[in-house]
Amino acid sequence: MRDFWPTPLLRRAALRHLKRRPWLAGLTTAGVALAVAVVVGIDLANASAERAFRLSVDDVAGRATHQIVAGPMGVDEEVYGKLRRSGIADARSSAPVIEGRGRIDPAPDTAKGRSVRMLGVDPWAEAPVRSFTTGPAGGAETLTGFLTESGAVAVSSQLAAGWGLEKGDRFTFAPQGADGLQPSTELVVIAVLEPADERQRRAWEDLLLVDISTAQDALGRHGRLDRIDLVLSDDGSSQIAALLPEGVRLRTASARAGALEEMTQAFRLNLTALSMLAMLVGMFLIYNAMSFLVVERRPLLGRFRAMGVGRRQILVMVLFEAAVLGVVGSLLGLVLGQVLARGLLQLITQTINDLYFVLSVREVSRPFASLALGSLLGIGGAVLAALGPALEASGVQPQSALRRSAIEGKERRRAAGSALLGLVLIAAGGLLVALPGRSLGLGFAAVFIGTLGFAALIPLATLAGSRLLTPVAGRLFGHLGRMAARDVGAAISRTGIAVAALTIAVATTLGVAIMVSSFRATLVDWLEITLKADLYASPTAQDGRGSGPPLSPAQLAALRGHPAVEHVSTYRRVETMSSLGSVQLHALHAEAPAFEVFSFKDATPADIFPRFRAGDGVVISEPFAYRHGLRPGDTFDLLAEDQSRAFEVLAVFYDYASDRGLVMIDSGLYQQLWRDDRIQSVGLYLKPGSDADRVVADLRSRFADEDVQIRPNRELRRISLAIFDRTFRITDVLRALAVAVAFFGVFSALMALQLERGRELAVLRALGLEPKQVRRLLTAQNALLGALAGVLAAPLGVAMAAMLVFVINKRSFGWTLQLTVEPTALLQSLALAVGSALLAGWLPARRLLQRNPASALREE
Amino acid sequence: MSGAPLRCLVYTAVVLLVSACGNPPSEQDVPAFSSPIDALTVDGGAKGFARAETVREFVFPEDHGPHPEFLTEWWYFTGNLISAEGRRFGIQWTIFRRALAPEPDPETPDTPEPQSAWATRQLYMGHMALTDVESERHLAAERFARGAAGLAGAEIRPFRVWLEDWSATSEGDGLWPLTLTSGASTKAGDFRVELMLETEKPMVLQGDRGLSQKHEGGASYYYAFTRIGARGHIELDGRRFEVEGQVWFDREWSTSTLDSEQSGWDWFSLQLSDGRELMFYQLRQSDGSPHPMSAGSLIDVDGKKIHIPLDQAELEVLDRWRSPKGGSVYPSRWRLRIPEHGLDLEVIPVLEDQELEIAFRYWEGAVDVDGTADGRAVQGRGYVELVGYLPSET
Repeated sequence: MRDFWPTPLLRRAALRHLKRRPWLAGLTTAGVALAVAVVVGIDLANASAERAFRLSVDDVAGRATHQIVAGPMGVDEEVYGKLRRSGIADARSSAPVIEGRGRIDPAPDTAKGRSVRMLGVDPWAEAPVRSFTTGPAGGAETLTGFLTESGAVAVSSQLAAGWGLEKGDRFTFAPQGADGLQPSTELVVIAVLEPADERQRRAWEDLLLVDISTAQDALGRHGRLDRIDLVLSDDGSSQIAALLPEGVRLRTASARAGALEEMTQAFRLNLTALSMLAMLVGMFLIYNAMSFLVVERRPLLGRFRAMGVGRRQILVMVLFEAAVLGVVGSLLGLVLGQVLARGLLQLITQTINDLYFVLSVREVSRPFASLALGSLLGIGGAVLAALGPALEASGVQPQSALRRSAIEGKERRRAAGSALLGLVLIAAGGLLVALPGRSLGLGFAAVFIGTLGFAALIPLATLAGSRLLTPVAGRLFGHLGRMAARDVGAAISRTGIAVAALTIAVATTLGVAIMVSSFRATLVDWLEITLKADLYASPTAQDGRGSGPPLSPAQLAALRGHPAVEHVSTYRRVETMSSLGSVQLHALHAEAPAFEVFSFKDATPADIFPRFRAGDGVVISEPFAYRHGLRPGDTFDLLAEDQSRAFEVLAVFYDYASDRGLVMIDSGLYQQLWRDDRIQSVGLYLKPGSDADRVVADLRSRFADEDVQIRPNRELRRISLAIFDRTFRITDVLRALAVAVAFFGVFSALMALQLERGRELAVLRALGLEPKQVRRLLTAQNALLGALAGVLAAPLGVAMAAMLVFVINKRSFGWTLQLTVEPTALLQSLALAVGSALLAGWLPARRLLQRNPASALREE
Repeated sequence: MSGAPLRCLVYTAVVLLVSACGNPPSEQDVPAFSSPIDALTVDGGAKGFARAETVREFVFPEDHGPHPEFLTEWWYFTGNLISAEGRRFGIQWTIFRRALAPEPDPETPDTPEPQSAWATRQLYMGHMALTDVESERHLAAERFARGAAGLAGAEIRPFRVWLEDWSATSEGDGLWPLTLTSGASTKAGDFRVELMLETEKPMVLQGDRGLSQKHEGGASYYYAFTRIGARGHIELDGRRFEVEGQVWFDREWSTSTLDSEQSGWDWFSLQLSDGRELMFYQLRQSDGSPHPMSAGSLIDVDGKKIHIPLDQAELEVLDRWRSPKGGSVYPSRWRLRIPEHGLDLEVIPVLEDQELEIAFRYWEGAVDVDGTADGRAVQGRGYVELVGYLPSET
């Protein structure tokens, strides 16, 4: 074993070597750092969002072991009174809760408002479930103030500090809806809550604590509770469950958190996968740098071997170098990752807020696991990437090592083998996709393996490209052109990897871009079909749970009665329980022409309409069908106001509004079974020849003093697309990061390439080539590398997009999207590849040209 | 005996507030929702409330219901019960209403009217206790709830006062018969009580035609039913006892608090075997002497009330009991003499420890009476309330 570990001399040699190549060592380190930063940044941001979410759930659940919940309307407040009057001992540790979000504006004319969480409780019932603390001398006044002062609120100390709020200050609170704000309520601060520990401090960051009566008034939720929290024994829970009316359920407190977390799981997994792609690019980069370090030192290594240094020692020495770079790069990456996480966190919360539920996160948490994972990837990735070059180095023959051409010759032979391996990998990836099942993990594995396989094809493709282009370039640019093209192939051990790294990075951005634009194009088409009514009317405020204010009968009558209106569709969106968990239920009243807004799978609206209207069953969205494995003809149970009832699936319709999926029911049936005749929005179909703009103006003036919004369909489309774009902003950032990592890769590869060719260029200079000509030669070569990468990235990018659209997206969300490849996207990625290659090559070229040819020649 | 502890709370609060002013406030954070009892100590003064100042006409059944224009009121039942197998029980059933602030003036609503069914300024508090003589136990519990959303409240037609599952409920327009329920899980055990009540005597207006003066400028409206037949059952530790006995019902509402010179009281409600009842309260002044407005009344067999001023009564403490929990020393046996009416009575607690160990601590318990009336032997049963004996107050 003694000859296994490199001697101190060898280790010193390794370190000195790194020191002598500060640019290369620096670039490699930077590449590792960036790759680690992307992985760590995304992981931290994900973990922070999750933690914030957990905290808000935990804090609000308090010590509760159970919760009483009900359907879309929340729990009838009578249930709480009944519970309290029951005489069941455990019913005494119960506390009613109303939660909602909104914005506060302490001084409406200054600064922008802030989103806050309103928690309505009954202070007399809180003690067994939660504890809130205020500063000294706040207790009794808080308790009575909640009942006696109109709009009394206790604010968290952070909120108070942030807004300069003190006891006695007044501000307005406007509850938040899905598409607007409700009339605001004036609140007065009667106490400042002092969190007892760090956990509370974070959970209360945006908390307004109010009496339940204030919450009902401010949020417009009269007669209802969001839930009742309980601390129950086993006996108590069965007694209480028996007491509850139909439609009201007792569940354990942890069930809720789990359900919500599941909703965002696919989204978060997708983010992680994107960060892994960045890491993959980073590993190419390391591989590239390490290969160069090996190739460049071949003569030295050959001498070592000739002096009797063992193969293993050489192997370990190279790995040791890689580990040093990996450690330094990882440490930098951890720091950088935390900065990145801060920015990403906002984007992630924005997306979660738009798509799932309201979440407010302001702090990045640093779970040890995320940091450890990042370091492991960085160091492990570096060592793993260096394994190839290290094996290569240890295989160096004492004599042949002295000949540079030996490697390149071997490398060229190996390109064919590598391509073969690539084909095998691509086939394996294809096989993975073909496997039955819906595993998202397998889908991603297929993407990775396929990408790796494609990367393995690149050296051969580069050689081919070089050979193909040499005569063309010669004819076009003469001698220098031919030289530039041929050299790309001649230095395949360098160029192959540089092209591969750049190809993968560019392909990733291309793939994601195609996926997003496919998604967007699908959405645009769908909105075109779905938003068919000429106008839409809804109360200004709608909260996400569909518990916002309904349109009043008078308002409905006024809308229906407008002379230009031919017929109307009405909508009511609620959350209800089913045998498949909590589901989004939409109650729809539509006339036959309005029913055309649906595009059904394997059916036409005309077939389905009569049965839907007759209440024979429900129609479900594609994600819902996919998620629960439902087909037309299947049945499942929905929990109506007081009974569970089986519903038949009449058809599956395409829908991109919710990745959870939704169930559509005829409003007549809904009103009868759920005893809820509220209408939240209506679509107005105008008589032919009506002027929509005039009707909008008409209705807007009719409802000038009421909270009714009238919007033409194009405006709704615009809003929907704006939300979509906001949601996908995070993918833009990730694409930019992948390009940045690739840029470093290309930069270091070209740097290496040109440093290595210093002597060759010096010879050219000595032969009389002008510096201008040398620069042109180098630029042409860089452009060629970039163009090769750009061209190769196109098929890979499209393949990746296809995987994302048809496999990953389908498995994550259940949506069917149409793949839309825009030629501009392909051109853009080509420009990106050439541009970054030119940019990356510019500095090395400059350095090279600044060197004195004579000294470069003397060097060897 | 009356629902006086509540007024004492206010008094206590004044004492605490005064002492707090002398000391720098503690730097420690306090629970935002401290013990509900604290809420009662935030005394915004009696401003904005109606006051009991003049003799008024009582109107029923309305006056059985709540009077939110007054600061406070209570429905107070106490009784002595005996089971079929001869087991002796005492029961206390009390619900207090307390306004946290005056109701808004309907003429000039100050702020937008709250729409929520939970909005209220009325707080209800309940004290329930069961004395089980045989096992020498006193089981007590307290509760608080807002007077809204069905949690607690008082209604007139039919009459109903309730706090969660504790209730007093009539069926028709009349007060009687009245069903009383209470129950709780306490450290000392679990109990439930359900009693059907029917009065045996007409209502008595205490004080001057129902205006009961407690000190200069402080009075309450006060009526009582002094002898009510009760029958029902008690569940204790899973055993059920069929019981019957006699109950006393006090109704009082007011806005005044105790005089600053008054430190507490001893209150007696006694049902005698000769068919008469005696109510007597002695308000104690800070120096321990009885306040001159202490008084009582004797109800004769026909329900006629005879006023007993302080100077006609002699109250002598025969024994004392020190509470092992709070350290209070309560009088524990008395000799009460009213020579004018030939009464010489010894009042003996059925159990020494009938202290309510709740947020506000006081002693309220079943007693036996033994003595003579005009020289003839007389027995009786009743309840005694002792307030203002906390160590810090003496």
